[in-house]
Amino acid sequence: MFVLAAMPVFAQDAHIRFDKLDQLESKARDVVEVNIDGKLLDLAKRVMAKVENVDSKKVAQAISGLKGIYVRVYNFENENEYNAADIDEIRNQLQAPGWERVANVRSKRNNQKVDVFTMFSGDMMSGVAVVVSESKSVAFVNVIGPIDLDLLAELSGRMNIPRLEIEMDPSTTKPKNEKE
Amino acid sequence: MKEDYLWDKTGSDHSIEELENSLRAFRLEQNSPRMIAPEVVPIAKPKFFAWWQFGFAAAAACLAIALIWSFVTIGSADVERASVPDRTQPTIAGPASVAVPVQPVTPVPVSTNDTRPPSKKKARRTVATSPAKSKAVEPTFPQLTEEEIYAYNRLVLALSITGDKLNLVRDKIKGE
Repeated sequence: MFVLAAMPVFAQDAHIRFDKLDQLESKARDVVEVNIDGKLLDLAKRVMAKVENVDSKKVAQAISGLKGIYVRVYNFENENEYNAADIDEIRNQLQAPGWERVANVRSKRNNQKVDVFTMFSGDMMSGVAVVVSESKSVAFVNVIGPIDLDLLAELSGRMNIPRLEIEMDPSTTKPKNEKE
Repeated sequence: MKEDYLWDKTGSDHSIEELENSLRAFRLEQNSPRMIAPEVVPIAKPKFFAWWQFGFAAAAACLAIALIWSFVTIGSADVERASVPDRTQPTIAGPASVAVPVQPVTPVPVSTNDTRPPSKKKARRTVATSPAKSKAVEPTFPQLTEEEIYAYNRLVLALSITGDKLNLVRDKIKGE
């Protein structure tokens, strides 16, 4: 009698690797890179909970289980200045088991493609990934842990989470692609 | 010279008599009016001179009060600004700003995943975020440390971008 040892079910890793985006970074006019996890995230969540504002309280509740949030945004001077293969490298990671595509938007205007992926561990959401590519910009968002996406989208534009229009501060004359 | 004439005017002395005659005009008479000390009358100062002095003093007093008030208000504003996230930035300052509270333009420092306190870092680039278009209630921020402000700003920036991209999907679904 063979005893089939049950394969241990490893928790899927919802963390996307952004290591191979050097090509995008070198070509982009400006780059936004935000990585928040660990103690920095805990500190930020505590501050968010302290802020005396209804929306802040909602956001604090929405991100209470968050373990990390990673953002990459690349803006280019001209259209189609980046290599689509660089974007596919990220999309390939999201084809791994565990990830499910929940939204797929295509628009010929600005050659826009938006994909939203989620990963669940049982009934708990363990990660979210958003990939947005347009003619002149590419954006990746990777959220580790459960997060209320509807609330986040709803609150965008309120409460100091404004609709973002990333622009370089005209008063600064920093060289492009320079990160902090 | 006869000493008796000089003593009690007995007899006569020609030289003394000539001297007396020449000084007769200065003799003190018993009935002459007494000399009165001249009265000192103060000179009245012209009116315009007094007003000018008063005006100058009043202007100096007003200037001093204005300077003191400005120092006090600037000092209290600095105390408030230090406890509020980046408002002149998205950002998150105050946040968004630093905080980042709602501001016309809120620059938010952008950096890599660096947990060092902001005081040890040198910001290379700031990202201006547009103000909240819809009605936004100004949040009240508690007393925050520099590290807390930094962490909050970073989180709000990340959530802003995430929400913005998610809204692209929602707008497409709604057909906008």
